[in-house]
Amino acid sequence: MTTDNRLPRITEGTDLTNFPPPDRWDDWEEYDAQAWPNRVKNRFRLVPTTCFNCESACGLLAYVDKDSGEIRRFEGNPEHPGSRGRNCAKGPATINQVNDPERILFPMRRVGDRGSGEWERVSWEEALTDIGSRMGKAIREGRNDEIMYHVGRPGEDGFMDRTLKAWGVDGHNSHTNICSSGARVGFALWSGYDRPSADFANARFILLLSAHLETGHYFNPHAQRIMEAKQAGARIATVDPRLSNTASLSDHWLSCWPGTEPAMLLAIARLLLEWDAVDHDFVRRWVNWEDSLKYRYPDRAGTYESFVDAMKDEYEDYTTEWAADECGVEASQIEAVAREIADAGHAFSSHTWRSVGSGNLGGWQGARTLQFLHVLTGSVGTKGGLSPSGWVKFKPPHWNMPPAHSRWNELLWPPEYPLSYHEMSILLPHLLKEGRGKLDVYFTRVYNPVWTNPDGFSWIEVLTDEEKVGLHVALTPTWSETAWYADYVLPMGVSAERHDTHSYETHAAKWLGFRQPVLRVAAERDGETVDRTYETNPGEVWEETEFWIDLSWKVDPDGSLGIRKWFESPSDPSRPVSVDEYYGWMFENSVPNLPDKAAAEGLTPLGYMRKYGAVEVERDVYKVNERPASNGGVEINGEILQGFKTPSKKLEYYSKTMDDWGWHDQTIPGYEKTHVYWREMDMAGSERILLPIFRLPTLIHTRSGNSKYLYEISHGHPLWMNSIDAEKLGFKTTDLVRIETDSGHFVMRVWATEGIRPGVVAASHHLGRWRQDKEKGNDRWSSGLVDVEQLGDGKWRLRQLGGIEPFTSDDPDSERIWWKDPGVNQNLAFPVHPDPISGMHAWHQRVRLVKPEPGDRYGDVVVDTNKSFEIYKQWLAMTKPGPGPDGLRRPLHFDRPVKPTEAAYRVHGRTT
Amino acid sequence: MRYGFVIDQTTCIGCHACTVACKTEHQVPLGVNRTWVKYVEQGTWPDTKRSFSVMRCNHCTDAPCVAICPTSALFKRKDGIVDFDTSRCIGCKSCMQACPYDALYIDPNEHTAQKCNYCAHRVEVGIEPACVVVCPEQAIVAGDLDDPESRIAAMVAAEDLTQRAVERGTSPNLWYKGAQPVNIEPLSAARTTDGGIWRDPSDIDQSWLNVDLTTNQDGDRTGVSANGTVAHDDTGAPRVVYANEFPMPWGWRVSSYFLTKAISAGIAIAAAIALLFGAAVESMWMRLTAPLVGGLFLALTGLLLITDLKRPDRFYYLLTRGNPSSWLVRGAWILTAQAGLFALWFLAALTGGTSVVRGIIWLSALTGLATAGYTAFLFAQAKGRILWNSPLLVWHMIAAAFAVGGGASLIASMVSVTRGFSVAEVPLTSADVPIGTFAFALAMVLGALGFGLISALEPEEYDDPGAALAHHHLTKGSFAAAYRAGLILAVVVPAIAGTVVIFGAPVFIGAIGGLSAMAGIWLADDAFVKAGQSVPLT
Repeated sequence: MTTDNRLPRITEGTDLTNFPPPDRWDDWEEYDAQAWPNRVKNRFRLVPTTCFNCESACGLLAYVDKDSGEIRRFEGNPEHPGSRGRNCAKGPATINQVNDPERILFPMRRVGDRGSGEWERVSWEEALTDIGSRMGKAIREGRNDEIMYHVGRPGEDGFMDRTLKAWGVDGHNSHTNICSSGARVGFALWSGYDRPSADFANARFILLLSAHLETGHYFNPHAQRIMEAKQAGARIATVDPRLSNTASLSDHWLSCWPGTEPAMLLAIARLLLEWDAVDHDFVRRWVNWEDSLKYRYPDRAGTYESFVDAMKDEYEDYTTEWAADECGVEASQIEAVAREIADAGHAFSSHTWRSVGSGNLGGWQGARTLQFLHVLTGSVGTKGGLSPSGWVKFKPPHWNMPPAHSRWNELLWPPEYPLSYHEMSILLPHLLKEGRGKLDVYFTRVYNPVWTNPDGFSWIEVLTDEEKVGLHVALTPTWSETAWYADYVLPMGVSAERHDTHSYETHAAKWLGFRQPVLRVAAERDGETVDRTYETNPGEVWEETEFWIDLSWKVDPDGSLGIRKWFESPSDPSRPVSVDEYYGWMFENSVPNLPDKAAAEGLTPLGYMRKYGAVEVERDVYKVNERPASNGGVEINGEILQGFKTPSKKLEYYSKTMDDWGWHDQTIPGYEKTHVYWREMDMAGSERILLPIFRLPTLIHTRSGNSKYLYEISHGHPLWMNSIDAEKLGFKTTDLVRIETDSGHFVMRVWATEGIRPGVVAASHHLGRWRQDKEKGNDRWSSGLVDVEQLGDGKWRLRQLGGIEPFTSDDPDSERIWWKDPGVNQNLAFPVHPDPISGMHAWHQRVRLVKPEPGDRYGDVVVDTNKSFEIYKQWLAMTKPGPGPDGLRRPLHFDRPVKPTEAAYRVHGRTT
Repeated sequence: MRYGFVIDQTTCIGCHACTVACKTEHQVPLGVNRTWVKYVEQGTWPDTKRSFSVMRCNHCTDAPCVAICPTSALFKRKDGIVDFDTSRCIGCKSCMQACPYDALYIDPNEHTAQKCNYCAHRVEVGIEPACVVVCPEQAIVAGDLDDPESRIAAMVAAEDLTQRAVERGTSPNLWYKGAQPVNIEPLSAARTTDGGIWRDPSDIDQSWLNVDLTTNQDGDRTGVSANGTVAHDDTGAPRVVYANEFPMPWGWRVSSYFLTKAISAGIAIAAAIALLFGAAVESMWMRLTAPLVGGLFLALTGLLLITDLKRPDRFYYLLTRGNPSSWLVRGAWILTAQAGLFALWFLAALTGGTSVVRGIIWLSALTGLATAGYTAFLFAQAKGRILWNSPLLVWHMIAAAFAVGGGASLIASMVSVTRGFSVAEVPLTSADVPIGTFAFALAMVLGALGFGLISALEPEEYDDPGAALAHHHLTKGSFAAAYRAGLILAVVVPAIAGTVVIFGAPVFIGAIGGLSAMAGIWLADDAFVKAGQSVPLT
């Protein structure tokens, strides 16, 4: 710090700009905010990295103090094409996570029984050797699939895919079926791409079955562009039983019955057909109408007109009035939205990801019926329309890719769910209990299934059973309810402490982002040699990239398993590949235009990415289906075009796949009754529909407990209840309510509000964090001390012993914690509800809202896991198990992570 | 050069990014904020709307915090930014009373007042404030209002914008685009204590957390705030569903300082009245006890003031770094003068002649009037508290000084007579006692009646809804019982007691009246001080 003369202004007159120019980033001086108005100067190095606090992967710029060597704060990265220098609250809050006095700084190994909470510090070498040799033994004995990597927020793109392929392990488990399986199936059936990419900025009408002005993928980049469109005159409709901030800022709020969204969307489709607001050129060119006629309407004439007539007949009963009654909204609202869609034409954009798709049995029809509206209006791949995600997501090939393995792990891909998108992660405890397999080495990585997945007590039951889970390794930046049941807790970096690449469909352009450990980058720019990232991170916090490389060496120390070779340095096979070599190769060879851009600045491609943190690969990406195909395209009027990723390469109105796999009545966009169908509930009594998954703009699933500034803003956890219901059921705001599910109950407090549909109650899914030890086991900023008690065979109770309390630490703010309510974990009392097609856990619950009983306490959660197992069996009975045609375990054109060889898809080809 | 903000509530999505970016830029501790977001809902389902507003310092052209700040720790920069210097602040919290926007807080690390300073440290090098840069919607526009080329100047010139509390004469430099009155007028939406959408209920301690329901099943936990506003009803009226809470900056120390200062000033005033009626200055009371007791209460006044400072170690900045426009500083001068005169009075009585003492008593009475009354001018500078801005307040305070000054003198003279308090060789002469008693009782009666009369003259109606609500709280709401009891004790009891003493009743009755006046004035003024701060400003 220096205090001599004043700093020069970087703008003219009184003008202001948002960031120092990148050429100043390595040597930036500014005044110290705390010392102000004394003009104390600080010298900074500004190092770009990427936020890890949701999937959006917005750019961050770390201000690294050159004198103290510490990160002072995070701002946005103006060079990032998705986030454009702006962030939501979670971006700058990253500094809390870096400086969290509660964080885990060193590798730890369990002592005593699993879950008993006793730990000892170990070295990375010890941990790697122990875990690696155990994995090596399993692979040597052909027990590859007893190794499982279970990821929550991946935050990377392709590295683990490559690693698992190199190991020959079909062990990629994800969080997808508690998140987005429903929407994925709905979109994939149409186009083969399982996500949408909206060009919000250029839209004239935006239909949101989501809350994208406050949460979700990709909140900040999308919210920017939605508002941009709104300011340019676009109009917005939001379909959500609950008044989200997004709904409130919309021109139309359709507060429908949960699960009825497809009925509404089909009624709109019917209106579009009736008004002939259909882009016939597009539909004729790009929809599989010939196949649709052939298979579904074989008696009709084989003309396009006859196909249109067939669609009209198909949805004849979906009148606006019927839909209004079914959905519980005004007919005029439905018609108004349909009119807006018709008027917007190609500039009609939309989004759905969770909401209907993740809440309901058959919820995947939400995305499918929404996409239907785009197909009809021809707003597919257009400016202001909706594209498939794959067109704008950029996946650079990784270095030295191993071939696909030929294994099929039925703990992940059980035969009952051949169409699931993707792994049946929520079923893992049940499948283990059924003896369908066991795990020798189980990695949870930024994943907290005990808390986040439904039926957490069943997870505790299998995690504490060493017969079922041999070794549990938790890779995590912070404590979690699941890490409590680990054998190793290995601290991994938060966003500014690791290497990853990523690319997301934030708008109609392709970009690649690079997350990097900023203190390492700063040290290297200062001329230091850094061998491993934990040398510069706080404590011995590491990053997965290097961890997996080093672990792979321990799995196969002498190279005899053929694994080590994939992780050897290309320049010196006697040592592991370095991150610079790895990503240097990728940026040099896999990213179009990057080498030229870098050369223009006299940088290597890696140097360019280290300097800017992101690169735009292609902008204004539209109508990729119309681009000429080099191989495997589709012939349209004599031209070979790229088309889509479906078997027909067209958009599939009729899905032969669904028919082939036994779902004969769900071959076209339709409406399935949800498991929380309002007409089937005792609304006159105490039954209501619980929406347990809405999010807040300030919290990060279960990963914000280490951010004091975020928790300070939002920590209260009321059950939203319409005042009409409150009156009917005899509750007032802050009254306690016992919420009974099929497997147990929990006790929350009521918030009477006008912000939710009567008949529906809701609570955010972030809160209710707990710890089982006074001082460790979870962040004390956010967790309450609890007693987890086994009351008998399968009967569990979690009881709060205290609220959130101030504590002493190096951060004086920890003594100033003023909030107390840790909230209530709802998920524990939810049995699994796997949708028989998508595999999505249908989150919405049919609940009974009753007065607390004597002995009940706020925050109590009581569950019978025998009951939850029964419910699992009930839902399992709804499935149509594979194999399908040709003995396939899964349609070959359906994506899945770590895709095995084609042989592995066939039941006779199994190697396990 | 005049930097300001336009906050566009038509594009604000209520995401709190500004709140966190500000906290990380300035390392703002938990519990306090330089900028924050308020949520208001209105309407009934399905026609419910939620709207947002971003609250912070308005960087006023006529910033009341700068005027009231006794040490110029708050200051207006040439570029229009209202900045602060932590090293000068004594933590008197008067700025928190002056600001009609609740923009200031006491930093728990430095124990000094802080607020949004427009990131002056960034602006000086040409970089926008942190909240502006982070905003996903670019809803916060910063720039030079005096530069016609700037975007902000064009917006202010051409668009339909609103401001907060302009009637307080602050000339704020923050405008809102698209903010409805319910967003920016603090009382146009009902407040609750139930925590609303995302926060803990304020009464979480005594309500449901960790309560075993077997012993507490009354089920009635609806939040009713200290302001008397009730929790959400289903009429669709606007209600605040997310808001920060603000502590009352001034409490019992300030109410007690009102009293001790009135006693001190009143003793001098009562002594002068006694002189007026011909009392001799040879008595123990008039020569030594009165300046001692007056000085003692003045010292107590100073002690209360200093201990109420969040940085008591810096109390002397009031004199060494004083801002002459602040009535806190002027008050310090007055109190210093008063203390000096008490000291001179005492010294003169020990060493000097009668006429000198007389002269000093007269002077002390004059400074006594100032000591008693100046606080009214300080309270008039508290632009955030309209209830306190009454032009009658100065007379209220002087009347209080008469009442408790007379009362205190009566108590002292009674003690002197009955308990042999006087120095043996200089007893009170039998001739002096009736004159003194008469004069003191008269002062008390006049003061008490004046206090009552002025209270009765205070307006019942206020144009400003905040002042009206504060007045309601004072006279009919949660402070009414204390206030009414205070008025009875301060007016009726001393007026009657003083009158009967004048007509020959024993002095102890007057002394009881004096004690009653003290208790009553403390109660009434404490209610007044708290009621003034009981109204939300954001």
